[in-house]
Amino acid sequence: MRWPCRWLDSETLHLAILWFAALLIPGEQRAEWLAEWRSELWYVRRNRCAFCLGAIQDAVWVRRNTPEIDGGKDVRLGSPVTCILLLSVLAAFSAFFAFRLPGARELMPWSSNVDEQNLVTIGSAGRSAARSPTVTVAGYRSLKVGLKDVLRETAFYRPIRARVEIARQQTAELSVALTTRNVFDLLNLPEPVTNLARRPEAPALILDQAAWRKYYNSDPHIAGRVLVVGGSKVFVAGVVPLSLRLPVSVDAWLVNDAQQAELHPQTKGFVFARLRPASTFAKPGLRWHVSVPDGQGGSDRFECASVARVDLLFAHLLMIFVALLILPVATSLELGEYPCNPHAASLTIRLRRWVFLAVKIPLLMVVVFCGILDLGALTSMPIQPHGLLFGYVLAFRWALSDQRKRCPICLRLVTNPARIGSSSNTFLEWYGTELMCTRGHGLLHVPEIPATYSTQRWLDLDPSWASLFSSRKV
Amino acid sequence: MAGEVKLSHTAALILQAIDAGYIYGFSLMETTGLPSGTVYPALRRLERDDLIRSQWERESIAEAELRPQRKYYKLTRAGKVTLEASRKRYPLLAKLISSDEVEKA
Repeated sequence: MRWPCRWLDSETLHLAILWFAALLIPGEQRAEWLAEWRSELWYVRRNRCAFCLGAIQDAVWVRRNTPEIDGGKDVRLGSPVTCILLLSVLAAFSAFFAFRLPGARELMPWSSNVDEQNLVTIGSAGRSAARSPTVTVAGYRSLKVGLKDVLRETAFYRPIRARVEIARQQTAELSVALTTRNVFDLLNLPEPVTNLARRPEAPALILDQAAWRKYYNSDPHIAGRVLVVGGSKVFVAGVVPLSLRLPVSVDAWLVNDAQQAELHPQTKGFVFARLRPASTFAKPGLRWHVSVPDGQGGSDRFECASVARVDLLFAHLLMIFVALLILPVATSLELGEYPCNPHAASLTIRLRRWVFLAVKIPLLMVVVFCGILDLGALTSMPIQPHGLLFGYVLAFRWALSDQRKRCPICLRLVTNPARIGSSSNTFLEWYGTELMCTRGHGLLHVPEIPATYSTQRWLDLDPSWASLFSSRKV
Repeated sequence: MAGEVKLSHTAALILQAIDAGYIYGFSLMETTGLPSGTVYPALRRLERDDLIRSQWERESIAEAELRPQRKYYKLTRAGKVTLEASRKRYPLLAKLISSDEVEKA
């Protein structure tokens, strides 16, 4: 417990807390406020961290009780820099969780180390995705013979619970999949990962990477060791970081030809198969049924399901395109007309406006993409395609309306809404809301009822008006 | 009576402590046992209501004692009146922090 206490007592941490709390203080008072707290901190000998955390409460109180500056909300919140910072923090958080949550990480386009094209799982009819084994050893043998024209290779594995030696005099119960020798060739994992070819006849154990880290402390010399598994000695062939989603989690794979041959024909397990190249069945999400003679005059019915996943990157780009098409319908803003007179501002100011929009869009895309993956992982629901479309429409809509709510000169949010006109004279005079830029750059008029003859318009104010607004420099 | 400011027990305790000579923020914390997140906002509220007045001590004093400059607080006339009224409202206030104690600077 010493390390956390030393960290909490760090002078740097205390000053950082005070500095972050000071960000809440209005600019004019910040220096004095910070000096007061830093001087008081010098006298504190115990619980310095708790003392500094009280500064946050004090800063919140000062902020709430400071008379409003510039006639409206604190301009810091409306600043374009604040907007970009908040979006960046949001994008960073959603991306962080997307890489940490297992359900989200495995959906990343680059996450799989297994060639999922042409890979299928096979189960009894209607149960290809079942979490319990459904294919018997006899059925597996029938499949190999009956579908040899369609399936290039098949592999059978049966998860069992077995006590595995972890260390000297120490064992743990792991989920061990008794499998045929060809399962790793079938999954196209590289040979150095498994080292099975070194001892083709001996029972071999291949550890899953997560189990290797958890039970063997990522021992780099694990390959070649002899462990006791279920009372029998096996050698460790290697470690495999398998990213393929399996019906049952597997801590280790046991390749034991003798034990495999002794399995009762009615013993059930799971079956993987690799389709022959150019097979028409290798489409994401495709399921189909096959009947195979069982060698006794009858037939067994199986369901095959493709393991290949929808290319999420393609879906992502497609949803962006569709969202842009839908955008004109999803917003009441006139997309072809900008309320500000483009000739009134310099090229630099106009470019800055476009750069601001160009920075917001990618950040929003990251937020939507990673956020939908996170949501799908947390809820265990396949919401990605629809969620991406919905998310992108909302994000682009927000980006556009946020852009329109900002002063085209300083890019700060316009504030102080004031009603102009009366609703009873809607068609006789202009009726809507007027907002102003607190730095005196202009006024934004938003009509109550958008129409072709009445859209948002920006009224430029020349610099002589600035004295009526904020005293800050433009 | 109509113009009398009614204080909470916390605010009255802080006024009592200032009157007793605990004029710095941290010493108020130690005397009253209240956390910093309570004491400092309370001091600002009392100053906003003109019951106390804050001032930075002279730099020469702090330099002579090789320590940072501090802000100290004093009761205003209105603060003293309000403190008297609070003592009637909270009879145990005077016993919690005796006015005879004076903190040496």
